[in-house]
Amino acid sequence: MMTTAIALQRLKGAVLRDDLDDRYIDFLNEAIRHIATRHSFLQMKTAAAVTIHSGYRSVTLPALFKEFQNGRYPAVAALPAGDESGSGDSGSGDEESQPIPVYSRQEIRAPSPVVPSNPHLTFFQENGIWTLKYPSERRSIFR
Amino acid sequence: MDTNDSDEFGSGSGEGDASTPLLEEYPDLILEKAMAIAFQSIGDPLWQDHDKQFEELLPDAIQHDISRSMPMAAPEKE
Repeated sequence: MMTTAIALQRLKGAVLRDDLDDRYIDFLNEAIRHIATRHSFLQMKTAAAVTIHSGYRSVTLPALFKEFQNGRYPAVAALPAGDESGSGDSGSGDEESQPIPVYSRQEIRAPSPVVPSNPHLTFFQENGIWTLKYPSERRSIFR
Repeated sequence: MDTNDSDEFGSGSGEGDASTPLLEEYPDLILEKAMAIAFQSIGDPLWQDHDKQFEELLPDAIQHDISRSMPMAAPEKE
């Protein structure tokens, strides 16, 4: 099994520069980050449940988030029964779960933008933090 | 959900015996890129050789990953 210690030993043995001893771990990390941007490997996949509670419009995604799985519908909305638009105006008081599409902010703001269906969620990164957001005031709960 | 750099080693953890799934699965790929980055940082032209080697290894690693992620066919009913 390739451990971190063995990987560092091999890296040091190839580069042969003692003055870089403090930086080899950074080189290894940078290599892993680069590879992770080139392809989403199975080893990178994980599951995490996030919820936008009633009364809130957004939730911060886990720090290591890269992209959603499950295609366009990684989220489930608890909408008032009969409220297909997500307006929250059915009035019956019952809720039903339904898959809801998620779009990246880049998709919606692209020169040839994707026109999202409603209801939907958007996700974006600002200052290194990924956020999942419901774009308007609604009463729905997302899990 | 995918995580971008879930395999990243924390500060100081590199001296231990920890490993990570990506490093275990693709050690040569990661080391080639790390060597390319290291040599490039000191202006050694060897970085190009290691980067070329990395680029040659990457498609195989991706193909291997895609093959593994393909669902197995359901057994045929008798």
